[in-house]
Amino acid sequence: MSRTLLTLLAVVSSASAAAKKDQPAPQAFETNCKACHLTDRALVGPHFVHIQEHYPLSKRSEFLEWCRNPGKRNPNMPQMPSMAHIPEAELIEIHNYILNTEVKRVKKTSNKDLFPDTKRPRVVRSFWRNTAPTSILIALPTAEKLNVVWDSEACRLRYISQGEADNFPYLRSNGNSESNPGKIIYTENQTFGTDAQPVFKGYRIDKDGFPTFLYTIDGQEITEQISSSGESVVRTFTGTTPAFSVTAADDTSVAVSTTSNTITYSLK
Amino acid sequence: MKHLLTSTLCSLLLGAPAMAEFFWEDHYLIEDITLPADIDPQIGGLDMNEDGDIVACFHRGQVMTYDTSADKWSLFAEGLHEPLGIYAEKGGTVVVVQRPEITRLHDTDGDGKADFYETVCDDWGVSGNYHEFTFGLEKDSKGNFYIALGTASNGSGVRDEIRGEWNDAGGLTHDRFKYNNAIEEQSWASKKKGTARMYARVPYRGCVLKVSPGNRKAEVYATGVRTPNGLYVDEHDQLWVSDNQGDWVGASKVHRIVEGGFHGHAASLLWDPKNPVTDAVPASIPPAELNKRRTKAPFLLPQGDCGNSITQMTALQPEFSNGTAGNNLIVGEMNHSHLSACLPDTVKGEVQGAVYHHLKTSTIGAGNNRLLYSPDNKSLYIGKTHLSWPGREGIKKVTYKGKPFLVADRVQLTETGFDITFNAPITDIGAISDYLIESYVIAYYAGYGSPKNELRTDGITKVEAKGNVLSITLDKLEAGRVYDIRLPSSITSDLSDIAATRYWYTAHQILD
Repeated sequence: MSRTLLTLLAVVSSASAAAKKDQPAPQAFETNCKACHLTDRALVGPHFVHIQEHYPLSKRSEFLEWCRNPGKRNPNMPQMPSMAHIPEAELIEIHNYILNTEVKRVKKTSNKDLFPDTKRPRVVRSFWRNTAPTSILIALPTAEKLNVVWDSEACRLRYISQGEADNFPYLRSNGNSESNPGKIIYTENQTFGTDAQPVFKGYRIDKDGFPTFLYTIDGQEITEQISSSGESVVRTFTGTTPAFSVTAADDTSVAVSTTSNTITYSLK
Repeated sequence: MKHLLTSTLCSLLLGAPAMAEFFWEDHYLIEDITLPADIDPQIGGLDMNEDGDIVACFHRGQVMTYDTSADKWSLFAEGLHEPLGIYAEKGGTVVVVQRPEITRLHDTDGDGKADFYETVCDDWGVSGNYHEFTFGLEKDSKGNFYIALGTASNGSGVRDEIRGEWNDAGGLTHDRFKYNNAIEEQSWASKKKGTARMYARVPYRGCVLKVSPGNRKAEVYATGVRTPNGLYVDEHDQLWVSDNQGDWVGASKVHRIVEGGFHGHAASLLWDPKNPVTDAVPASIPPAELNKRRTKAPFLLPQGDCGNSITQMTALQPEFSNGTAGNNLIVGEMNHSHLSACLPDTVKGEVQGAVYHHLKTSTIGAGNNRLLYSPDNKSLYIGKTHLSWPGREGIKKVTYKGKPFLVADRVQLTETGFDITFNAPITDIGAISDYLIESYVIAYYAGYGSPKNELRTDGITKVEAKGNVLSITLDKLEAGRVYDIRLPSSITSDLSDIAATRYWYTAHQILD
């Protein structure tokens, strides 16, 4: 019993010592702010030092206004939700708490991708740059790191890019920034020779990891495989291909050759 | 002894009267599930296939299978675009919903990896705005799929290239929303003035869609949702959808979806199949007018106190909850370390009811995005995510240990107050002075969230227990309020002390 009492007293005294050193966070902060705002490093929102600099005591009213009607400052961070449900007295309490919290050192947060994917071939859907938001990137197993971006709405190749394709900009910003396909080295316009809209049916992935897209135009089923042969990109078609033509951009480092059922793209 | 010590300590520190305490972890075992190596462990969807394996989809587009007995993950599919819902079908196919489409994954050669990604339905718009998530995926007994489309946020614009025809009702043209508008050379911050906070300018954003078997065409099943990150079809084929606090959503809520119904968020009225808004910015329509069209949500979860960003629902199974009633729901929560139970009540034919925090314990953690029961319903798997907002990662497995505890099965409105029915007789109701009931009105308007309007402390005139039922009498009741009911933690029974002491009852209706 005396041992229990001793333990109790020890806990009580250390708890009160801690309370003197660090002011307790107001309940409204715990409930509404803590999940995103840390004292010493940026998490979902900015850290305390950043807020202290932006909203010193002299800018109390700006702080209150931001809480009630927040905007978006950093394009790579999510927008703060409004805190209009918190009464003014409690917002002031939160502001005081942030201003009175001493932060010794701000820790740097890393923007590094912890899960980079560089496998080739691979098929990745994302918001890729310079194309429809429903496009698919195929990273091909070429030494030159060639990628095809294929539009699943128009059912056609949009461009070929070179370099490591990176969808981390998209992931980091939750889709606000576009994924980086590498350097776009070739774009093309394609017409199917009909006004009918293609209907995308999906894709198969073969044992080598190459996709074959399935779609119909005017009820005709078409398959289109995207693969590589050496350092060339190859599109191979089956089915009753409607007469279609491709027009490459003028200034391009890619040579295009066709057969009855293939289009081959090679670096010049 | 440990608990006695802790409560003594609390009373010493706080100077409060010594009270009994309930500890969820005396009744539940909370474990971490092993995660697959080298994968961003944010969970977009969880289901179980007919072999009893968990199938999960991940933030970065993978679908993986987890053999629970062998503790082994294997990759099934990859490269999907932010999948946020999954449904494992009989025969081994897996259906996922990703930003642009519903996709059925087939393993045609039986090697354990999907080799055919079949487009099931892509009949909705994608503007490229980051907030246009696609949520799901539920299937009813007739084989219909349900998904819900998130609205776009005016935290940002849209792409030059979009899928679906832009709706410029009220004069808001596509040009005004483009991220890169070289002609106007305005920053988005200045352009966004004059746009509604959340908008739905490409087809069916803010709507619940139904996709019938073999049909590529989606049907607008209901309108009026904002960020509906939780769908659930119950055993009666009733669809429930959760929504997150924001504009037109004064508090996070759980909707009971009515076919053809308008559930409150204005933006999607552009896509109402019967009576669309064609000549105005929906957010500019007076709330009183919209309120006439609106189907109210049975459960409101006031911001901060009760819920912040609620997620998926499922049944609150008696084998898991230790309760007795079968129609209750349990819903996940992103920002706080708890789940919430929803207890329906029917008053004058309208479903409404109470919410309490089930499993309020720090070990659960935040980010509770997706819920899945084990086959015996005794364990609940919780898939976590954050998507750069507050939250966590990985999967927790929460197992009921079988030791009974005192929990509420129903909260019913009476003519004079509330009857709370527990799963055991109450042996001590505590002191009436330890009861506190506050009530307030959650606003319905274009602004973001709602303060506690017309907040008041309600007078409690009587508290009594008859068997399992605790009856509270108030000096008056008023329709259209949320009642925040706080019970003393000294309420006890032969099973245990009371598990949850706070209940938020949404009283759209009262008895006359």
